[in-house]
Amino acid sequence: MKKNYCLGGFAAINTGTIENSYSLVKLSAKGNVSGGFVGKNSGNVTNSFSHIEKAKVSGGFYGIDTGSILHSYFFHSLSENSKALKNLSDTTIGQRLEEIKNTDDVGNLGFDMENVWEYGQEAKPIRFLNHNWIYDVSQSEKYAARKENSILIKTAEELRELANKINAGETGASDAYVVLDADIDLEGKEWIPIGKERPRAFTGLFDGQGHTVTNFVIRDKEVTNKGFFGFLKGEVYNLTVDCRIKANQMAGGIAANCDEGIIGCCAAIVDITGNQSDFGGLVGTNGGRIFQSYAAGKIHPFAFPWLLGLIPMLAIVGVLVAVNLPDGTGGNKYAPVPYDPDAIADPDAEDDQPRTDGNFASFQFEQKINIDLTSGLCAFNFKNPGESNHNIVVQLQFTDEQAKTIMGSTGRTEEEQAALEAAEDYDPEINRTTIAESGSIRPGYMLENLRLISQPNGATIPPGTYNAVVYLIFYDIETNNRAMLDSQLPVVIEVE
Amino acid sequence: MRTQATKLETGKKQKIIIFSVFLLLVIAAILLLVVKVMPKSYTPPKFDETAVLGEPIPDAHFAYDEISVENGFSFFVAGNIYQQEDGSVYLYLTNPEGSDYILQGEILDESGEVLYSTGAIKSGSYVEKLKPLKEIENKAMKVEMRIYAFEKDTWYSRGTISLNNTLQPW
Repeated sequence: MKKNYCLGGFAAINTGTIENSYSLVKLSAKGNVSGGFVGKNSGNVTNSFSHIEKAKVSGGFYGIDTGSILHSYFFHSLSENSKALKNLSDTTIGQRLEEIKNTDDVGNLGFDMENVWEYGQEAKPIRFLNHNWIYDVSQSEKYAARKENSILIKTAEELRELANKINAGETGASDAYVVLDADIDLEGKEWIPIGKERPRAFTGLFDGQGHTVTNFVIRDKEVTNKGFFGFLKGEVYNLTVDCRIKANQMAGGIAANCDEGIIGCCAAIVDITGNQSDFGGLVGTNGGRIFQSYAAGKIHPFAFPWLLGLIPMLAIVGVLVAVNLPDGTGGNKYAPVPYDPDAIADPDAEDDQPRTDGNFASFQFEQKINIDLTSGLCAFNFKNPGESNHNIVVQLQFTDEQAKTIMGSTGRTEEEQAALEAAEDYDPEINRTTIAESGSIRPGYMLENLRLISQPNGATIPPGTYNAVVYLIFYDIETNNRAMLDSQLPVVIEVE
Repeated sequence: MRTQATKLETGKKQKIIIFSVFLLLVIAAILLLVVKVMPKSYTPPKFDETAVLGEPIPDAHFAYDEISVENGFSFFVAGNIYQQEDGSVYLYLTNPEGSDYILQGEILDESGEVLYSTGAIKSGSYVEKLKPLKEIENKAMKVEMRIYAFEKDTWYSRGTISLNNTLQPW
């Protein structure tokens, strides 16, 4: 028969007593008996609560209850009529956070707001009164017999030594009065639980004095009961632990198993991962007594799933690096002439490749060009063949002499024209006025129309038939270098 | 007084490191993609800070003369180039007054490695002397002088002239 694994934000299984405690653990494990506070309860739970954000649990507070749960609730912000809320096994003890607005609202639920709890909107919705959240260990029955022989722990080494002694079966240590005298950072290293086997459970008195043992992990597959304590039959007070656990059977932040022990005023901030295990935020299973304690953090099935994102990311970077990096400046001496936006790929040149055996350029166009003055388009039907290895810029030109005869001027401003004419080598039969120009036309592209240029001085071409020159400028497709030899061919233009 | 912490501290540093690496990889991937997908940007050469206005009067042994391309551009340059003791070379590359173009010169060895380079030279100015870009052996060597001509404003090519020459030792 398949086992139902239990998950609880605070405890996986409770057969003992839990009072005045809470869980803020986020649970995201499916297919188990899970409760925001306790997975399976056959003991007694009073005045406790859990807070759930999403209904990824069997019950907001408990998964299965065959014991007694009194004045205990789960707080949530789920919609009252939502399916998620209705699917929970314990909807009747759900309380919408938005409806808990002050101390009285919580007090009416049965919580002791004078000695144990205080209300706070951020506290979802209550927390322990900090000044009362400390247990006086001298009240413990174990204290009197052990107070003279306490073990003071101040360092990580001392704490590890204690755990080793207890796990080695040294009864003097396992039954001792241990006092934690400082916060202890275990530097992210593996922690072997104190009392990792039931016969060597901790039976003494442990006073954390409000200190925290932080930054430890429990991943060892050989360890099946994972927590700061593996098996606890003694008493632990005033201790906070902060750890990551990879669970494989039973796990809880303070203790995997609190057999007949007592946990008071303790806290566990945990990140527990694993499948097919029983685990709770503070304890795995509780058969003893727990009071004024809480658990926070998360319990989820996989560790760092987002780390998987590194793999495709590394692959992308690797491929991009492998496919040669550009040098940032484009590597070319010259700026590229922008491609003509009107040029389109020539379907006949689809399979052609630029030639690599030296400079090669050819072209095709109409020898008689019709110019539509309304649209400013010169019907040209120019093609740069696919096997060309030059981009081509096309200009339609008059000599300055022609321009003056046809348009009345060269189109230049008076200042420009005067400066040009002042030069010794100015010859109106050689100097040209450009009347239409394309952008750069790539090999395998065609341009149906050239566009007339607006002349700086506003000169226009009147309707008629004229001789003109098509001037072709070639740019290397790789280097943008202009070929030293341009081509020019006579054409007839018909302006309408 | 104790406080009731709820945020996990264990592994925070490792998480920050891993997240930073992840973030760097994402940024690197985005940058590489942008560089690959976007058109390559063009950076024109900087103007030569050693360029001097006017026209030089080199000694006759430099064989300084004009080179002109029909329907193209013209420039003046030393025909004989000598390596100096510090490796530099007198080139006297001149962009004549009234030129419509910007020029730049380079001297390359036979493997195509650039030994000397000018910055961009405006019309009406010249660059007299070039410092070597690498250590150059003091011996006669075949070189190629390349003169690049740029359209003003757009930095489009107006053509490149290549001249074979010999760099003389000092």
